[in-house]
Amino acid sequence: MHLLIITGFLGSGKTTLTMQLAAECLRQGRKAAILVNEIGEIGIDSQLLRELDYNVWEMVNGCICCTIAADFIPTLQKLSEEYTVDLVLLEPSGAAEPGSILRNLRYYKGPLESVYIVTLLDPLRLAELYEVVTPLITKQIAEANLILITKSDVAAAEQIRQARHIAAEINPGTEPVEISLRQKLDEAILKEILPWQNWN
Amino acid sequence: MAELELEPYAASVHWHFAAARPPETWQQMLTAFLDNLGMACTADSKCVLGHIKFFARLPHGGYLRGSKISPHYPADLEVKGGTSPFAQLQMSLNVLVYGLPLQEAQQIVRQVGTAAAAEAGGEMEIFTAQADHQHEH
Repeated sequence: MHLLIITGFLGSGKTTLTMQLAAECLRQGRKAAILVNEIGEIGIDSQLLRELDYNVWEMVNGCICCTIAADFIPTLQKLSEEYTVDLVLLEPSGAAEPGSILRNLRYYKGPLESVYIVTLLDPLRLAELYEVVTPLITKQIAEANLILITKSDVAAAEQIRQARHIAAEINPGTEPVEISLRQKLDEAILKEILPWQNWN
Repeated sequence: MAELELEPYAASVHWHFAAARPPETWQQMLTAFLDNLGMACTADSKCVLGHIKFFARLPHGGYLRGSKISPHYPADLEVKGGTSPFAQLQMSLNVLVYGLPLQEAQQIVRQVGTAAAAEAGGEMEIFTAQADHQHEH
């Protein structure tokens, strides 16, 4: 089983990317489960994903990286033992720190072939948000294996440049990729993200 | 700028109209509702909009969902699969605004929702989830 963590601030496009990747897994004959964590008391994204018939596991009423961290490992355990999925697409809340999730993974005793973190940056709001939630956004960028700058179809060139600048300062080893989630993901991105295509 | 606290507010919002209305009319009303909600939640300049979103299953199949991420950008609404008119809608709403206390969020949703429903000739009721969680690291 592989674990793909899709992080990013609230409204950055995590659910849309998750849906696209789940559909791609299906197309490639792979079994994927979506683990959604929302900090609101009512799961909105999970309702949408269920409506679209995805295999969804929901963790609400807290943040997976802190207040309901204890629920994460048993859920992962169950997905591995009872459902034998190829890939778990974990969509933490936009307020979650991926590093805390990784630390909690040490309690997971099942097979895990790889863990990969994709962080989404919304260039329309990044500069403003970076000022008010600096530690959170810094951690989300710093811990990413891949940074995707979303909304490239509507963002101004200056907004993209700012997003690239912030990403480069925090995580200079990763070259951000611009995408628009209104369009189908291109093959190069899929190859980068899906574990059986590229991961070590 | 100081780090702001996030107190998520969640509610089930029920909309009632005397006569059935087409999905496009609902879409227009709810777009205005989300836009006004986003403005009201950030009227105090210290508050920063994280995400306001809702999801509703349509009575005759399909769904309606909406998202508002910034007072500077219009709300994004999607209607899928439903074409028949309907008179009632029950939505799940999450309001995630940094710096906005829970009680204020609740009040704002009630005020903005009531105004939106009244303007369109309908009514709105709120059933609040047990939304007392604070996000802390």
